[in-house]
Amino acid sequence: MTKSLRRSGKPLPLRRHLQEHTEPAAVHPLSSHLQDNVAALHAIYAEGSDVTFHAFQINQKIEAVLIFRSELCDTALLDRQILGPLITGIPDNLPLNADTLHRIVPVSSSKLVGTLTEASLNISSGHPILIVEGSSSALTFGLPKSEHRNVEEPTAESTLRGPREGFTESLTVNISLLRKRMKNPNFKMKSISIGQYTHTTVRLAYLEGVTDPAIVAEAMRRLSAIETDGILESEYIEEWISDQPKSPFPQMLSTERPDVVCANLLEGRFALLIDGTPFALVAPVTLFSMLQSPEDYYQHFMMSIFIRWLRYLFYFLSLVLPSAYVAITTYHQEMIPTVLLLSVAKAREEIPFPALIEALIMEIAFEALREAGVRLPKQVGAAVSIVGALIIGQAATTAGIVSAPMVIIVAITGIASFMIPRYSAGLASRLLRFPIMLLAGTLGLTGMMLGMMLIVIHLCGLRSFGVPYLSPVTPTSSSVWRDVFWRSPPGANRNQSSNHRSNRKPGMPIIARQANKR
Amino acid sequence: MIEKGKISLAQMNILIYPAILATSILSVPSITMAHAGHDMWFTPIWGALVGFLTVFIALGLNKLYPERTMIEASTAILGSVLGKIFGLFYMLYLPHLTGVIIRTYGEFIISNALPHTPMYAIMGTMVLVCAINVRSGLEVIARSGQIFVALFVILATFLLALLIGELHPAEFLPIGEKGLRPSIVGALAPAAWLTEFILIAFLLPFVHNRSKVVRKSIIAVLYVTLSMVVINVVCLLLMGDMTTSFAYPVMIAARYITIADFMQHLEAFVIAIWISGIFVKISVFLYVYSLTIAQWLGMKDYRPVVFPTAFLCTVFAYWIARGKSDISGIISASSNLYTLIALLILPSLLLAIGMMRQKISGQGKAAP
Amino acid sequence: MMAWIAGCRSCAAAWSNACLLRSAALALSFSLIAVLLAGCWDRTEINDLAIVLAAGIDSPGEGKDYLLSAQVFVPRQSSGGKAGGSSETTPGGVTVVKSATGSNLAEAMIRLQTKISRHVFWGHCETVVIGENAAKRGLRQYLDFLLRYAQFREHAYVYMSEPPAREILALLPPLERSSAEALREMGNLKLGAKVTILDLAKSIEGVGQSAVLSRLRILPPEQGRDKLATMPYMRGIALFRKDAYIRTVTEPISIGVLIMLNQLENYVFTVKLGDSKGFVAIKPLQIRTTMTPRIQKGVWSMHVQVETKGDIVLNTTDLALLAPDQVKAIERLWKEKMTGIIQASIDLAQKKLKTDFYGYAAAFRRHYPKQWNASRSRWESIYPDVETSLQVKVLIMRSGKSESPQGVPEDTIIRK
Repeated sequence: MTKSLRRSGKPLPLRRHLQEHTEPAAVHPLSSHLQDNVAALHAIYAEGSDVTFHAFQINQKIEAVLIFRSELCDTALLDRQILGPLITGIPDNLPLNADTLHRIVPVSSSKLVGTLTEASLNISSGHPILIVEGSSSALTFGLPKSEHRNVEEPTAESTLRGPREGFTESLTVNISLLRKRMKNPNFKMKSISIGQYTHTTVRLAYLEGVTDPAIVAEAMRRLSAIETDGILESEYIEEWISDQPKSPFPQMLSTERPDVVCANLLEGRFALLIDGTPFALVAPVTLFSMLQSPEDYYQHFMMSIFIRWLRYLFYFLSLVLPSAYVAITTYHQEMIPTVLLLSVAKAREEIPFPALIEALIMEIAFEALREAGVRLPKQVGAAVSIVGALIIGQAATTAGIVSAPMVIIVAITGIASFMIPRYSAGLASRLLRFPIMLLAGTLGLTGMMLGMMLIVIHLCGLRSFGVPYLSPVTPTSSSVWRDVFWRSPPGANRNQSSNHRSNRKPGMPIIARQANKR
Repeated sequence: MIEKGKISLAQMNILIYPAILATSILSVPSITMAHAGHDMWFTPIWGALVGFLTVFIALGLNKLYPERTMIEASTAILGSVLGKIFGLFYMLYLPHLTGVIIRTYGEFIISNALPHTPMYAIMGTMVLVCAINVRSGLEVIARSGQIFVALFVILATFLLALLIGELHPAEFLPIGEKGLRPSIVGALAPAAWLTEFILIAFLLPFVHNRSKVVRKSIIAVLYVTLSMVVINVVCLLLMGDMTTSFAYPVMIAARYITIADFMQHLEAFVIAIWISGIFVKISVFLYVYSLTIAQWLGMKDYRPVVFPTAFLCTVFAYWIARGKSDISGIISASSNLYTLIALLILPSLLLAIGMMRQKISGQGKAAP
Repeated sequence: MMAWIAGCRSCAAAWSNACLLRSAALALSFSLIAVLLAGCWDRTEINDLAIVLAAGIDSPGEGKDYLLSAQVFVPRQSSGGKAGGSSETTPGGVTVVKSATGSNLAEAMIRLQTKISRHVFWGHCETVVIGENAAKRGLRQYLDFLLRYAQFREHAYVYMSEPPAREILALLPPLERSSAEALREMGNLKLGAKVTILDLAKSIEGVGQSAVLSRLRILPPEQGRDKLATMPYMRGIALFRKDAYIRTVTEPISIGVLIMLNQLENYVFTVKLGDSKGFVAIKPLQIRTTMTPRIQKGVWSMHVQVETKGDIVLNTTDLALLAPDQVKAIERLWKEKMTGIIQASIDLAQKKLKTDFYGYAAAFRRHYPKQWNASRSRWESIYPDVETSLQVKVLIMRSGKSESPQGVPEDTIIRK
């Protein structure tokens, strides 16, 4: 509880007051008297509420009240499919209670609820509620009207080749995007509602027989242990359920692309779809899966292998390049080829700062520019980048504040960090760059190595849902680890999962094998 | 059991590889040359025999008590009093050994990379990182070991490959200039290093797939020997008789590389190789020492003793020597006897007593 | 960073323990970082370095001080060199030479530092020039210093200079950035003997106890140019017995020395044909010298075999060079010429100087270790009497772009 409060960031007293106000409803079953129920619901939605209580008579005989939020449900359908038939067209011979109505109202998704909580929850979710005199259960209809975007091209993960569809904020749309791709009935989903106030629906999708059931169970356990006020984005969930939330390395993959989710499902991972955000979470992941792009499988395999290696190289560079520059120029000058050293010496001659400070200034400036560019509207963002490029690239060097080699280093580091296909995976290298720079500035390459060691130790201990983060490289899983360095041409490809399955014992998925391996 | 993590056989051998090579890569060429002269390049092959012996002792102990480390087995074999005394010897020996390793690291970094940095900063940072590694458990040690050993091997191979052009194959000759004796004396140093294979007696209880242990361990010894031979050969072919006059011949070799005036002065590579190797080595020995203490004291977990142990080893690293020349004295052949006693003779005595006891008790059981 | 990792670790431990542990780890790592940041003991910015490109060692004579000179790169001058024009009279001026004296090299080096406002950095010193007088005093001290002091490169080329080394370093060659670079490039082109510090030490400390170095002179500057605006060039080979300079040999014997050391490149042999007026110039493509020692019945002998292949680069005779006989004749003459040169150089080493420059001792040691060990102490007396048999094999591969001689009337060409 304390955690959820801290997370919400709202003042405490008000919160407690609200809870006291809402919680009693939880224990109340619905009574068979219509007026009691209406009064109870009136009490819940007493002030500042926009709930419509529409009283009417079924077949002009029995009192009934339809309760709904007009902005959340499709009122036109409500009038046509529920009010219309109920007022006029019910055969007289039937007993008019909720149970019967459930069967005869021409709405496909109707459901009986028995408690006030459920009733109010349904109202909040945009499901109209029908309470009938004499029935101790209420009837809900799935007639929500939600505003959502169309399916568009994902903006954060674009590919040259591959599907252009991206998730939207609507869970139903997202599920349909997945179901459209995955037609096997083994594609299962479990649902859970999280958040005391938001009641966000979270769907856990997995492939039965491919995903390790233990991992699915563990994920459900962690999801149900979440105690929070609200879930507004996938990151909320990620921080609650990752193995080590304090690690800068993401232990879940967030993606906007249904094809990525499907590919990961095929590899034995599970996905979390969260209502209200276009980002789905995928777990368990490894460092290497975070560095793979969906496009690796959409283009010729030779190109993919080349790009993959390039990406590993640049991921490494984005972490250590500024540090290496600092370490080599201030501690190991003999390593620089003579001619290069002479030109660096010339370039650095007028620079007032030590290399470490210079690197820190430039890296922080670069990060600031990058953040500014992301947050600003597109038109202004372009202006910012021009100003940034001019100031950093041109003016600072001519003014003799930073040296030209440093600008090159920062630029390469910047490009390197943009090469990482997953935004969240790049965060770790962006953050850890600074402590390594400090270490390199104090102990040279030795310090850099020490920093790398700490990172490796951390990564070696890290697990994502029980799967070691560095697998399949270490612990080694020889049947899978080729995919880390190699993208095999068809026949041994991951998406030909039959290939994997042939040497997989039933119920023993790929990921599980990695998890058990030490 | 104190350690809950399990490692694979391959991981254990990968841990032992740099635990032996990391320090030997630097000093073995000049030490062996001092004794064996021109024949130094095949001295590790004699050393390998001692390596095999050590492996068999370690495996024998493990066969007697498959789930116990040597320290635990000692109390079972020798009885609690004698066994504790046996353990006490290792409690005193291991910090000494670890201290020497840490000090070697410090001396190397000071003389090659950071001459003005105080020793405590160099050794302290390294030991701290290793202690963090050890605290994370054997699984993490094994995994980080795998990564750094891969780095170690790749960089070392790269380095040696770059040197091929500078080698003079004629330096191989003469072989056996003064008979085989010098080469056998010279083999004492690689042999002392290869006795560190006794680590198997400490690590094997945590290995989960032990079916091929004999074969794999022999292969591990061969790999280590081969690596030593390759390093010795490269030093010999590059520097000839001068190898012995340098403190760190491999370092000189790396400095000598010049490819197209661009790849030059690659000693930072050696430093990277060395650091990644020594990181694994210090971690392994620190782990073994912490485990020994915890088992000797009968503790449930070794983690609480890791930082104190690390500190103790660092202090030992200060105590054992005044300077580089003292360190050279410690790792030179004359004092290798000390290592041999601790890592070969005592374990073999333990094994012999254990086997005799087993035989006696076996007969005792069979008789009634 | 460390705090963060340590933090993560301690999380793994039990919760009750974690708080205490984490604060301890935090305190520890913060104090460590503080100590480290306060340190930066070895940090040297490039701006604070005086990058030495070449070192020169001189000595006015026995018993006197040594003079250590350093060619220091000056970054500022060269960066402002945009205004051309004046470079005609004064050369680029990217280096300055600073020297200091001392009773030994280490002392001279410390004194040199006192004369320079920046940290003198020898890590890029790729050329070492030893003055003739300094060389006469023996190389031992220089070698020990160069191989002991951490910054020096073992791969640096060593030369001996006829003028004082300081003067060589002071040159500002118009073509290269510095005379150090010029010497380095010349070494790479193998214009003379290419000897690194390590090679030099190896050959002096080896069983042969001798060494050779290229000898440098200064090319006279062109008229009207600054007298520094010129290049050093290699002329002759300096020979060292043990570590002391004994004498210089010049062409053609120096060529023989280089052949014996397997180091000759970039040379043209001129062969004069007896009956015709002209000559033929042959550029050897590769020269391979192998030495085979032999001890038979107590007689030590050495078989030297030189194999070479060459192209004809100039032909002023009237021979068409097509007929096998003509080529044979030229080959024979070439062979005679080479044999003469090489034999002279062997005689010089064996008979006159009685110093094993060519690695006889090493070869005997390799192939006859037992005999070698037995007579190791007597080597100096054995060496002059080692019977050397020389065999030269030559082969003319090609005759260049032309076959028959150019610039002569067709009729005068001798086809057969």
